Amino acid sequence: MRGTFEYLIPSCIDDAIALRRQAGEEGRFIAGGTEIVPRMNRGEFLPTCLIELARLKELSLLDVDGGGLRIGAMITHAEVEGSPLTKGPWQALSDASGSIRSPQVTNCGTIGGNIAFGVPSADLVPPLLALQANLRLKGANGERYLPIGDFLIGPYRNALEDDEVLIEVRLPGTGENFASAFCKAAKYHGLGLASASVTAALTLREGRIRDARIVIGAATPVPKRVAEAEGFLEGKTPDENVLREAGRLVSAAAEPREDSIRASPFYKRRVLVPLTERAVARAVTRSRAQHGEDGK
Amino acid sequence: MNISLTVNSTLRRLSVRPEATLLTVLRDELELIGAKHACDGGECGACTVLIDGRAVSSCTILAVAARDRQVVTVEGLAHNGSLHPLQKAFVDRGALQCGFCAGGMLMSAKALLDKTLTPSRDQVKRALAGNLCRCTGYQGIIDAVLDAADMLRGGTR
Repeated sequence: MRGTFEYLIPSCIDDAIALRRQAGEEGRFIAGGTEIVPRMNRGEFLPTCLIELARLKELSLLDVDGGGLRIGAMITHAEVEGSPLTKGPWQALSDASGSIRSPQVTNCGTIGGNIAFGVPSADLVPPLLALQANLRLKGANGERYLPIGDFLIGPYRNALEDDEVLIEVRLPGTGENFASAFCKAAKYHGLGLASASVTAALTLREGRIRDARIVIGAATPVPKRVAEAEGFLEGKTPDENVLREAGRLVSAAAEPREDSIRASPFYKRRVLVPLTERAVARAVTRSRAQHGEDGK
Repeated sequence: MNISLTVNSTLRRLSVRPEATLLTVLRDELELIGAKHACDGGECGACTVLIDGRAVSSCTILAVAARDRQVVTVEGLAHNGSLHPLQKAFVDRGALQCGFCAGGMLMSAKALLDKTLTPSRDQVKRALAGNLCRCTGYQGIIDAVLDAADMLRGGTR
């Protein structure tokens, strides 16, 4: 059915990096396994050497760091959703983890795997872009930080060097009246793999939107910010017409594949309009709820 | 690779191939065939088992990655020959037709009821969202899980 391979169990991050270096190009890291084990079962992915990351304690931290948040790469979707720390300004992240259908996946799948594997429909990536996540990478030559937008090079491709590990995700602190929301369209009451998603992160000051960050998911080769919509929203009062125009701009920025599987390009473009309206409106509502009258 | 894992409260020492999923080891080595081999891709939930109390598709986790963990399969639900309240409720409600999904449904439901004995109908649906049934239309299954929660609380329905 499928070939065998070496399975290596490192004792710490540095050990994992050393093993990866020794293994050369044949070495692949495995996190929760929810993407690659099915591919191995189907014979689509035939590794010769797998290096386990899931049990490394150093990669399983989730805590507040300064004013920001630090999420270890092996934190699972269930842990992201269940944590009280991913609420408030970072709620888009919790929305996204909570939008994954099956507990069997959320109990195993990790934030690091979701980012590094690079599937275009990865649900956590759009919120991380909107929340300006920095990725902490460690390799044989030391550590570096990379904004998540620079990490994603294309579908299933990232900027990791051969011997580098994604260690953790850092979310910077947020200012007053900041809030975020993630909305997706999917089968199974919105819990399936995303047909499309929109994430909105914004600051509401005196009733006007400031510094909006709007991200398309699952309708572009990699999730991306929509500068046209962000610019348009600057200083606007979030009424019906403004939301619809923002939705139109997001829809126009979509680049759905002609042969996309879960929804037609037509559907993706269409559904991005209400998804945008909903995500922006929800972020506005949350800003008001979390920060009170200042945002009015 | 030599691993230990606890399956239904019994410590097992096993020699497994790295590419073996937990599902194939349970079925082929330990002859526990309650977890079903179906989609092999984490889509259908028929192979659901508990690992350290959490519902997991045993087809998407390598056996070696489950080493030293506590695994519970559907065979571990009944105690001393008497059915678990979830199993009783499934029988009473006729919550199965062909029965292929039932083992996985029971384990996902068990993970839920281990966390709360007062789940809402929506919470039950959410807990079972990773388990597909192609016969029953789910209503009987959801009713059965709510019945079992009542039984476990000591009440009646």
